Amino acid sequence: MATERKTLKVVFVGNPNTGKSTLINALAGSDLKISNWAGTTVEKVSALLRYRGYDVELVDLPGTYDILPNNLEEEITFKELLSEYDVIVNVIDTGHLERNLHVTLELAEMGRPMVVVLNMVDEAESRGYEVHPEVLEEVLGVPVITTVATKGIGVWEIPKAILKFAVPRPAVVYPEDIERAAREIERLIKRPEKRWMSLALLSGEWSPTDIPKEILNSVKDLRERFKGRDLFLEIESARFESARDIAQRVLRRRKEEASLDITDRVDRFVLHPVWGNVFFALLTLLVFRFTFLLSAPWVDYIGLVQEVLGGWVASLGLNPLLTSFLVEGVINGVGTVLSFAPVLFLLYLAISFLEMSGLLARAAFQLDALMRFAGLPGKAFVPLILGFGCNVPAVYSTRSLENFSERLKTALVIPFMNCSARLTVHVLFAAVFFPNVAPYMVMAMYFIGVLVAMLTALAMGRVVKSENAAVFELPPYRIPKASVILRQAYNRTMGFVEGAGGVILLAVVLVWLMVNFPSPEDNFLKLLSNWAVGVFSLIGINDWRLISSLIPGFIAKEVVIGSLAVSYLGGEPFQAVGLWEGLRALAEGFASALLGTLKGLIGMFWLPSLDLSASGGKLGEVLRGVLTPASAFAYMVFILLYTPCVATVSAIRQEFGNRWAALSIAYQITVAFAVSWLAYRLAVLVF
Amino acid sequence: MKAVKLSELKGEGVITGFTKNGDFRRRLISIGIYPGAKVRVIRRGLMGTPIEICVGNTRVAIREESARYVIVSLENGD
Repeated sequence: MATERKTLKVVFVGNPNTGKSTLINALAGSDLKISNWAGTTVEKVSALLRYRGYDVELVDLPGTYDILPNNLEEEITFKELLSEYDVIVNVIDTGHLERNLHVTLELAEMGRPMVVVLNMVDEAESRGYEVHPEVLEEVLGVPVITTVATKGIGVWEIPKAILKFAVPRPAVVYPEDIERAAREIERLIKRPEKRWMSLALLSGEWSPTDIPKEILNSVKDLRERFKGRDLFLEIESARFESARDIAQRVLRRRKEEASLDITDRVDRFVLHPVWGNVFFALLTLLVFRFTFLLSAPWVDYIGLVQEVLGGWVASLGLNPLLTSFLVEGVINGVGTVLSFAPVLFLLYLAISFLEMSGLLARAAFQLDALMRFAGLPGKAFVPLILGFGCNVPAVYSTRSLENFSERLKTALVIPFMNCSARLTVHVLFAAVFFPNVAPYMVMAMYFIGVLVAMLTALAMGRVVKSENAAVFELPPYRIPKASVILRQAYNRTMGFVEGAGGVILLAVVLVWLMVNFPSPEDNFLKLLSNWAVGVFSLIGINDWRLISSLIPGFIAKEVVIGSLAVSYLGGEPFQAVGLWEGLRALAEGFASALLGTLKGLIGMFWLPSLDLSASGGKLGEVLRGVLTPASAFAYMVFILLYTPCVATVSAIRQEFGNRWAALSIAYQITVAFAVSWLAYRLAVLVF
Repeated sequence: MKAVKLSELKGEGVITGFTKNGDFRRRLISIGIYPGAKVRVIRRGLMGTPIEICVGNTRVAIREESARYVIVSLENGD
């Protein structure tokens, strides 16, 4: 027997929230591969399944309501469906069969082998339905399987069915004249998807550029015949008619449905105008407490690893400049990239949970009126709230928005959301300069950020008007599977490390060069800062050291404090660390990070303390000497608004290109100067 | 049968058409808001928008200004 293994590519398609990822997870276990879709940064998850002499590649396509795309993610699914693969696995949420079947019926017109999976049958059954997959099997002529992906029930029937390679028969009955016209176009197309394509062309909603002119011309002629009729609506109505008819035969009601299901009961509270909003305010607080209390020990630990590695390098006795490059350039750079990872991982974990449980859509419902006021789509609140944690995942999460201009608008507003890195600078300055009202000063920063964000969105709304339909689904509540959430959070975090890591590393090395050349005493950073003093004196900042710290702050805004400390108090020389000494420190650090995580798990349910009485130590004393309260306030505002950190810029660049990334930097510097000048002028009057 | 805009609907009705075409309409149809579908208004947000509706057995939130372009006929004519 030949030992040659055959390969198969299988794509999983269906509405959002139908359990595609859970199914692939159950089939492939840990054999997952994460990459990006060609030309985009939307994560592509595929897995390898070895089954009966086949190497089966399982590809998780972004969820879609329609084959013709409405947004970036649906576009990817569309492109993949027209590319090379062997079998379609259409995953259906059985409880919402009718709407899901709409995609199924379109897929059946693609002329490729297909398997239909009726997932979450347990939910449908518990709501009083009897499920009859054999009816759908009969209608489509392809294998139909029932599964409960979260419990692993029925999943192994899928690979068995895939190997049957059955091509579905189109099941929709169109008006006769439309059917005849569609067949005429079909004859001109030489692709398996010809039936779907001819209907899409006839509907007038699809105008591809890579279709031969003769076909487009005959489509035009045919459409002339139907003048005065709305072909798109007729075609869609025929599909929905068929879907409704088939759904009624597949799902048969066994007993009357309970008057209120769980989703209804929970929604009475969660969507309540008062209690719902209180609930989400507390939930947001909990998400941030969870993210930052649990990540802090690991961010510290990464700092410790950097210190130990630096110590080992220092103990080698190399040339001082080389040592400095390795420690402050390379190790510090890699460390900066990695120190984002724990924060992002936990934030993604929380967001994945909220998304899959159905809570995120409810929060969008509650905040929709506010978003509408700012001229943003309701779903944009997710990226904006995420921005309070970290701007980077916030920018990536704009992908779920419908069109380019909405995504762009949201992404350009995100950097004004005061992230946790800026918070560290604000806390120090508030404690040093406004000891009596420190928490209020910190809160003021959040308000100024949100205000500038809203005004920016409003101004942009005047430039780019959105004509899109503002709708989103409120999916039923579900308890997500832990392994799926963990996997998703891990994938997204790695996506960031791979995507933005290079740029951050480059920026760290660049800053290192600026600090060390031409000479450490008279470096480029100092030259540049001295030159900029003229401008900054307008907002009450006359000391070059305060300005020079803003440039390292471009890498990550919390770096501003460390950089100020070095320039005012002098840097500490590198401490050489012995091998054993270092290993012991690493082990001890690991243990205390674990302990810190446990403490955080308990501590996150307590309300955060508003005690900001830290005096700022020696650095605080020095700062009080060079800044007045008014100029300190202006400096805080400037830190809030000036260019997003390099990781955020790199995310904007990845998503929208160089031009918009550059514009974002320029716009923010301008806004930062303008607003902090205003803040300074006002503060001079008040303080 | 009396026809109203979805934004003015209280209770139940059947969707009959749209007064805006193109991507706008396609988006609504793909999420399940299509002519012939039964629609029921469940609740409204704090400022009267968005409107939570049930079409098929799917719950969808739609902004008031988008709902203005959806025409619904009242079944019992009141």
